[in-house]
Amino acid sequence: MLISSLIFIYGFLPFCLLAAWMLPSPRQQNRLLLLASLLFYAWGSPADLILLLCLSSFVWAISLLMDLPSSSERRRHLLCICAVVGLLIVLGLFKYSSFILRQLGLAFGFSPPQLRWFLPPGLSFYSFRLLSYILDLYKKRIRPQYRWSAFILYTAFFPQVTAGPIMRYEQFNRQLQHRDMSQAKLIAGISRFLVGLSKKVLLADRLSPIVNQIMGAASFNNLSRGEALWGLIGFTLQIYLDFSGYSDMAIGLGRMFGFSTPENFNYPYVARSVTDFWRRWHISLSSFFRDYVYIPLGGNRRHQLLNLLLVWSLTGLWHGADWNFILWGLYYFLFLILEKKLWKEQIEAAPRWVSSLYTVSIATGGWLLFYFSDFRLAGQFIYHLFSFSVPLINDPGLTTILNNLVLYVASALVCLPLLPRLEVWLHKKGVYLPRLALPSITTGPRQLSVQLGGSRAWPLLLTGWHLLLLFLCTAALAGSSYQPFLYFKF
Amino acid sequence: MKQHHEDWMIAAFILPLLLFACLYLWLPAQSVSRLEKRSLQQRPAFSLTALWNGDLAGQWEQYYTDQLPFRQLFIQTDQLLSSRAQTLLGLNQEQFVHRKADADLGKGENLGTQGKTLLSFPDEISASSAPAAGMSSDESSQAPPEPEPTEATQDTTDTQASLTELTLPDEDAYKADNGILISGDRAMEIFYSSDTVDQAYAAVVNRLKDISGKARVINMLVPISSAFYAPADYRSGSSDQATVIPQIYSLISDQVIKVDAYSALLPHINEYIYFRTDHHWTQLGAYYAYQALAEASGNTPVSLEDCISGQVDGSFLGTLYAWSGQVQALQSEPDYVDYWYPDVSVQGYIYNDSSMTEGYSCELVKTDTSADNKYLAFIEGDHGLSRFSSSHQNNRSILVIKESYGNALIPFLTQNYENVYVFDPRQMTLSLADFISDHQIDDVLMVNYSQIIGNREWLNSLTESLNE
Repeated sequence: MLISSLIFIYGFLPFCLLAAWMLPSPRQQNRLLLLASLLFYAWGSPADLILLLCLSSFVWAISLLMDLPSSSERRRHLLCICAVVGLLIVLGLFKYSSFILRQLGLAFGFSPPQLRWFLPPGLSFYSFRLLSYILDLYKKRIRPQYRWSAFILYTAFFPQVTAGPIMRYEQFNRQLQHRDMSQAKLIAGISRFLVGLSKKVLLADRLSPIVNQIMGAASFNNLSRGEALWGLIGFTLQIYLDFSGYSDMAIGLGRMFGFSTPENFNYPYVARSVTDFWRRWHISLSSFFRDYVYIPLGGNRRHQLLNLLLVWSLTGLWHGADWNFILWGLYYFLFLILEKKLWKEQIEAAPRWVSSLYTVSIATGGWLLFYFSDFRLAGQFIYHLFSFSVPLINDPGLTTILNNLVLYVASALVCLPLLPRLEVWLHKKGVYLPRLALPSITTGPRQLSVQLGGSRAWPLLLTGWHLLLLFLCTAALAGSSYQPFLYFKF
Repeated sequence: MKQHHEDWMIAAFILPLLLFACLYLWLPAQSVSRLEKRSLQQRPAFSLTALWNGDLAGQWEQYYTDQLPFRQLFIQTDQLLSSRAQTLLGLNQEQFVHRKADADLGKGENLGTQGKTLLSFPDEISASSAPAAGMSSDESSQAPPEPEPTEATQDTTDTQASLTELTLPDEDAYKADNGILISGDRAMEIFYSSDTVDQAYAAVVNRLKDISGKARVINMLVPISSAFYAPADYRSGSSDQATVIPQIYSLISDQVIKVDAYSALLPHINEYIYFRTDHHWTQLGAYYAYQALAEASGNTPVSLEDCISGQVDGSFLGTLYAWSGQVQALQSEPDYVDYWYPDVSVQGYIYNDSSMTEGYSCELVKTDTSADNKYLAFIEGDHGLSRFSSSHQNNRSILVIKESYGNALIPFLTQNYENVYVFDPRQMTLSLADFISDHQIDDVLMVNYSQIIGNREWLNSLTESLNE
């Protein structure tokens, strides 16, 4: 079940919220959330839940063994390795085995068998959550969770199980016992969920067919340079809105049940450098690699280049099992090195718009590598972007651009930190704007609760905004379900 | 006071969700969506197997999608808003819409045989030498002994024995996402082809010639409306039907008569020759192509003045309206169907299978159809095999191999042929070689709209009948 689907919004969510409302204590709610999470995850394929339960129980059991008073450092070390290797083997088996077999087939000239298993939903995310738990425990940053049910809830927490953010155990566990379940927080959660849903279904899902029409075409024969660029810009917008929309929804849902989830995106397209970009893009993943790979390897103290190379190859590989993802990771490795060694100062000295334009151009180029797993197609597309023998624009291209101009402008505006700016500005004027966009990074965590002081019009406005977004999203979801056939399919 | 605010703010979000959650469970499920032409998901029945393999979840998700309360209202709102967004700045005259239709051509569409009396034609058996595919075993057991094979049969079976099985290129070659262009109040499909699919189409026509024995083979590729009405850039290169059709003809054997429908239609583009909201041509368009066909095949075309004419009851919004997601601009000018048919007495039948022993009567033009798709008026839509026998007893027979574009053309052919056999390969497989010889077909006409070149499913069905 997708958290952006009609069955979630009108089937799963209202009953969850109603039940949560009837069970006010965190303890009772935790039970409810566990039940809901297991149901949510088992929904599409109960077999996947078995894998999740087995993996979590495996890690949980190891964590208890590690915590035994009799456990020596050596034993803890071995147990930790055992857990990490176990997790990586399962992840590798489901995610990378067909890629590896394909490469072996090419190298040794046999035709690789077609594997019939699919990546269970969210495995990349929840296995990283388990990894962070076991590594934190090994480093004695946390105490183990003795209660199996609480540990399963950490792995399977439904807002985050399929697409993150990769929340650390420490943050989660703290809130499992004590959390602020105020109505203000519920409202903040609703706002955030609807903003995320709108980013996904009103913008990203509408960009998707345009991008596929341009970049996913069987041939680029009639493609002009302008339209090619338009497609690539569309993909740049789509991937951010889709992913950050999903994170917004997860954060919003968590907040509805009283959980504060760390931010996963912080307006990455206004970053001032590639280094800055990766502090703002998929924050929970980059901080995972920083804390569990880069720093343990020696960080910037010992063979930094090698560490970076490894981290960025892994980052690429995490996104998908194909060469283009690895190349995409290495592409960032290259720019990060260049920034560190060559033009760090120039970028810092440049005007804001220049450095942001520089960053967003590099990110856009990266998405080109990300999109095409077929290098031949990527090459042809690059040719159509840059070659002067390709027309700058033609009539179909112009129609595509003009048709979608409003959508693109709206999408681009959402990528800019306009609402937080407005919020800060109004705040200075003494107006407390309910946190419409709600990325709490810009103004700090102290103001997490919704402030409804001041004018009476705000609650009304905010409610109107909620209902408008809900209506538009429902219409868009209905519209995308519209599936006409040429002939009767009765 | 603040608390009070928060209560109703939460209620304002949760109550609509709960209301809809209840409506889903309470409202009776809709069974079909007429506009989408599909049945809607009903409340799934529980089974452990379905639960385990995820089917149950998928069906419930589909149920929530299909049975959304006020779904049509939401769809129209969505369409209105995206249309407005596309044209908001007033910069663009055209809208290019991602196609919302399933690309497969399915089984064709027809008015059905409900309420018709099943007729038997025992005499037909003698005309058919071999029990053909699609015939049940007890029917074949009643068949009289096979007649002596005629000379023609001998010819074709010999030829066919020497032919290797015809195969089409892989599906990948047919992958093309053709959007729909809306220019003013007219919607058009964008044509697309490639060398691979062009060659494959030509190979199918050549094969038809190979198995047709002494019968003449005529091929007519009809351009779709974008050939005439789309802005120039939408009809260049591999999208230019004016170039692609002759190119394909050049790949087809000289023994096949090729009809230039493009040039026949070109002088008439200011007339109502294509529907604006549907992917078909009008019968007037079909008439101009028929004139060219008659000329190329040495027949005298009937003139429109000599035909009985009229208009099918009611207007309609066609397939392109549905596929484009109900674009508003099309709604204001619905299409209508004018018809003509020669003033001769015609008996029409739809057959259950290729033995032609059982079937139903069929009208050449059904002027009072209640179907949404008014184009179905012509020969009652797509049937596997049908036959129209006219009172012009000239002893000439034609077999028309077609998809729905052919339907509007059939009425005119009854002027020139005593027997018009109509075959749509999607609904029936028959041995074309045998059929052509058994029914002493003089002319075999393969008429297609240009999109068929890129339609593997239709070509594949035909290939099966060619290989039989």
